[in-house]
Amino acid sequence: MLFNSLDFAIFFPIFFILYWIVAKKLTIRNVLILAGSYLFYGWWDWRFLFLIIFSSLVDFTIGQKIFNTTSKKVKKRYLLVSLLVNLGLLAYFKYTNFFIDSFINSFRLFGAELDSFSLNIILPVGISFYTFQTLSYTIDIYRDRLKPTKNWLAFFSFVAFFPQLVAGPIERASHLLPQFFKTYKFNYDQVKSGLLLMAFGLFKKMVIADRLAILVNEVYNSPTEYSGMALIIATVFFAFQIYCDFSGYSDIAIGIARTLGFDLMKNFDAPYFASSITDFWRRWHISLSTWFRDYVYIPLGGSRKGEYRVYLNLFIVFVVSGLWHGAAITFIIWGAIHGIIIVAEKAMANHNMVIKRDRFFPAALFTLFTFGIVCFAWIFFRANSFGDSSYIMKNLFDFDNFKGWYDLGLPKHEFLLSIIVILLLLIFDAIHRKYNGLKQLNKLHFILRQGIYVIIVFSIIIFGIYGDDSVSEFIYFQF
Amino acid sequence: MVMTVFLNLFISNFRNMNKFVWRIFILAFLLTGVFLIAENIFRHPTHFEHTLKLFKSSEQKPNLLFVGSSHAYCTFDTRVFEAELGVYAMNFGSSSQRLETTDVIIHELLKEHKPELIVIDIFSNSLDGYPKKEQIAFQLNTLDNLSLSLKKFQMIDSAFGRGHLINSMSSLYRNHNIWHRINKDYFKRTLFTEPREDYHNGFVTTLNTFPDSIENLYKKRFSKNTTMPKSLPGQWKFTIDRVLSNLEDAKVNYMFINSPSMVSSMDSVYKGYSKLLKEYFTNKEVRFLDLNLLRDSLQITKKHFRDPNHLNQKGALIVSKFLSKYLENNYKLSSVKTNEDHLNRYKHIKENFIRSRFSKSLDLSIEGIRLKNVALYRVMGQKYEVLMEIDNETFSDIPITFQYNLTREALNTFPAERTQHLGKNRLTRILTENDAFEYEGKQYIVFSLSYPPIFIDELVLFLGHEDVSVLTILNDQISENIYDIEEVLLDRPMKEKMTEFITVNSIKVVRKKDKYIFTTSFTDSIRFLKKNYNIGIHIFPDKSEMNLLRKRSKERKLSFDTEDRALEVKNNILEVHSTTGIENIDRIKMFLYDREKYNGVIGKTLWIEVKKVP
Repeated sequence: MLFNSLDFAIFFPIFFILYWIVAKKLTIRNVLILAGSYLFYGWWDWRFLFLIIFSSLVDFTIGQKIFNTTSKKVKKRYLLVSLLVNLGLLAYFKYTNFFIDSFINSFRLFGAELDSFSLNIILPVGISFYTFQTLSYTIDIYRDRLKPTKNWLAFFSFVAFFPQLVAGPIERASHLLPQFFKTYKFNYDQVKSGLLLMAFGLFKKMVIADRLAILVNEVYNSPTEYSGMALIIATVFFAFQIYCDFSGYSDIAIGIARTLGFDLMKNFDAPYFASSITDFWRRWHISLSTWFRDYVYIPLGGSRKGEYRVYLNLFIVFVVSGLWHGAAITFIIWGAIHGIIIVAEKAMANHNMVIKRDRFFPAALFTLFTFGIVCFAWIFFRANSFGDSSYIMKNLFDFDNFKGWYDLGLPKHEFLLSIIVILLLLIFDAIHRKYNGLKQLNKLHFILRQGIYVIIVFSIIIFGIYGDDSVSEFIYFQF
Repeated sequence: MVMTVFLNLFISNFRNMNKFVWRIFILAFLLTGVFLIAENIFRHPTHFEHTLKLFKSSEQKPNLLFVGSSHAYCTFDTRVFEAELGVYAMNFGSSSQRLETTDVIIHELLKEHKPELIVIDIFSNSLDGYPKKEQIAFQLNTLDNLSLSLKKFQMIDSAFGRGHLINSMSSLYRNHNIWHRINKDYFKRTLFTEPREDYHNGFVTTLNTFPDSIENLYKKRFSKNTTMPKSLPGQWKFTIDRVLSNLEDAKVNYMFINSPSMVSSMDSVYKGYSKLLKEYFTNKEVRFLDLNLLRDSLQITKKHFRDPNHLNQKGALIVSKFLSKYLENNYKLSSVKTNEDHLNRYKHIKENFIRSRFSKSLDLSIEGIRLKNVALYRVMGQKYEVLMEIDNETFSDIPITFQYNLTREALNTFPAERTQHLGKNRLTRILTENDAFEYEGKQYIVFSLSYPPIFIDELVLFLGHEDVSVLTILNDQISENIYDIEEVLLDRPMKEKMTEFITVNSIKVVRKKDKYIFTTSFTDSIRFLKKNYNIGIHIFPDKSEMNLLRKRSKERKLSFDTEDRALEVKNNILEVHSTTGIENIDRIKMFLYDREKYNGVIGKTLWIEVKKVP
């Protein structure tokens, strides 16, 4: 079920009402959450449910086993089982075809031609997200940072919690799981802010991301027909498309959870205002970058094993992060670019080579430069193939054959609206970061607030991209 | 037991949710209000919408109705039926209208009024599936204008599938992506027709013909269809039977017609199904007239089509004349009381223009075209036509130009796009033989005026390449609406001083059908008016019309500046003519002001209560 679908528009109000009716009865409430979450997830394909139930069952059991065992060796074995099962499933569903292709291609390098084949494997929606979430549970128990729960209902609900099941934020058990053992009182302000966050999320997704996607898809699906300015516009548009798409989803997820009394972690923090790539990763997909920090970077040695090892660890983390995003060489390159820049920034910081902000190098210049690098990396992220990304790189500054602003898939009025909404988004991000937009909204007079709510709702209805097969999935569902 | 627990839980939680529930209720109320407004705005403008409004609002209901697809609205010229049979006819044809939709439309119409006869246009596409999204969209645009009913939803469900229910329920949902086309004219929902199209009671036509290339394209497309269908699909029969049963239940006279189409001669599937439909209706003892079979005898050729599927005005005239005769012979249709709303070009021709606003005999010959008579008349509402009788149709490519000056009032009354050329307006059209049509054995050319003559000071007709002025019609030569009864609303002697130099002696307000005439006499000379001073008149309608006015002009009053409107300023009498669209005046405000100053009212403002004056 997509958040921006009619199905969800019917599902959520019903769920919300039922939820608050039974909210005080913990077991019934958790049963409702689990049933609702499975319904939400099974709406894509009921067969996916077996996978999530299996994954939950494995980690629930292994969590107990690790905790009840005193032997470090046995604990490690159990953890290994959990890692093998979870990462095995992820590898099978997500990377099998990638590995087969890579295998065949590597033989081709040596002149041997193998018959090309691929397996018909459907990637279960959100597998990358819930796999990481359940892994954090067993790893934290192994590290004695968390006690396992004996309540299977709470655990299964934690794994399948529908607001963040398919595209995060990737929650840690230590933060989210205890919330399944608390009952919540209906809090008007909390529900209101949750609903508002959902509305903002829907606006970002339906009005901005899906509108920009029309131009981006047009150019990136046949990049050889375009050059220079068109490729730059499409790349910049993609930067905002993916931001609005993913942060929109996160907003909706956090909003839904908030209406139910739950608190999910912040996932985005005005990333395009970052002044360096290091800063960017503190603001972009925060739940994933902290996950990688805690469960990959630190186990690799973090910053404890010398300067050059830190650089290597950082680079590995970003390459793995690229691979997590997609089973293709372009994603690995995307991760590597970020890894290289991060390493460079780290090295410069270590050797006191940081350029200080002053009137010659104002903060805006750093922000703009960082945005440029991020956009450059997005080329690899969005390109359909390595060939496409190479073509785009080669022709990025060929400004001779520009067809015109309005010949890139968006007619004039839609193009101009796209620019307006991007600017609105940047203004909102800047204000929200400094003043907290929701709090400011609450200070307004009741009638004015109602007017703003009506404007938000009708902006989505009128300017949203939807209807007649145009309801699009969130980009991060594929990861 | 479970229910009790559930109820108790609900009540205990509801206390906490009290504020939320009320706030949501208020927001839902606001959203619903805005939604309803937006629904209306986003409804796709169609001529069907206009016809339905006309049908619902007119006191005199039509006794002859036509329904069907674009074949219907291009074929059945309501003007001809009104002229030939004396009936009041309306055409509810709409693009891609399928028989299921026709059924719902008839249902809606019958709720308002039962006509004497319903003529249903039918051919294979009226019963075929819905292969193109565009065709479904056309249907939904039509259905938007019909009220919510179970029948409507059942029809949408069965015809388009459940997936289209949400589409059919909200025009905002369906058409939101045309937000850029919403402008103030969209709000006014003026009659929608394509350029050069003509509209009358739902009949939409043009004089256009189509080039050979399109014909060849169609031939190529349809000549491939060589298989003749052997029987009507079961679903078609089911739909027909359901419509027949509904018509029988409503006890209304009806007949089915297949309009002429050039495609019918190219496509064997079309031909085959027409034959099968005829057989099916004959077996059911239902009257069905396949006009394609009569095409040769009616002498309908390619020049009578606007495109291979639809007749043009000339074709529609031939078919409608034939059908009028047919209906006269087979049905008893009553004549409706004739007032100016039911006059049209064919009626005027039949009556020899005795009820036109202006008519003049000419005998001019320019570049092979001979003008014999010219007449100006009102068709319906604010629409006027200039009709010229010519004696042959051997001319070719002659420029004809109408030049007229518009008054400032036209600006306030009509959509901006129609008043862009305020001032000297010059419309030139190249006349070809195609523009001439024959009626009652004579040749005519028609030119539609975008404005009522009241907004035109002087109308000059030029003809030929040398722009020869052949006729000038002055505003005062156009006779008043001969069917209007003059109603004196106010006739009051008074001695009200406005300033030191102007005293109003009397005021008279006369209402004619679509305008007011204010006649005011003054003690002093009003030569001042010719300098900087004007008499300002504000008209305030009564409460019932206030909202209407505010919707139209966002004002609570209509303001007139006598500078542009004073038709007569002599002997200290000021006469102002104004078309207001207001039926009931509540008060009139008069004042003298210096037009070079902002807020430059001089002296006393007079308030005249219209209703209270005997």
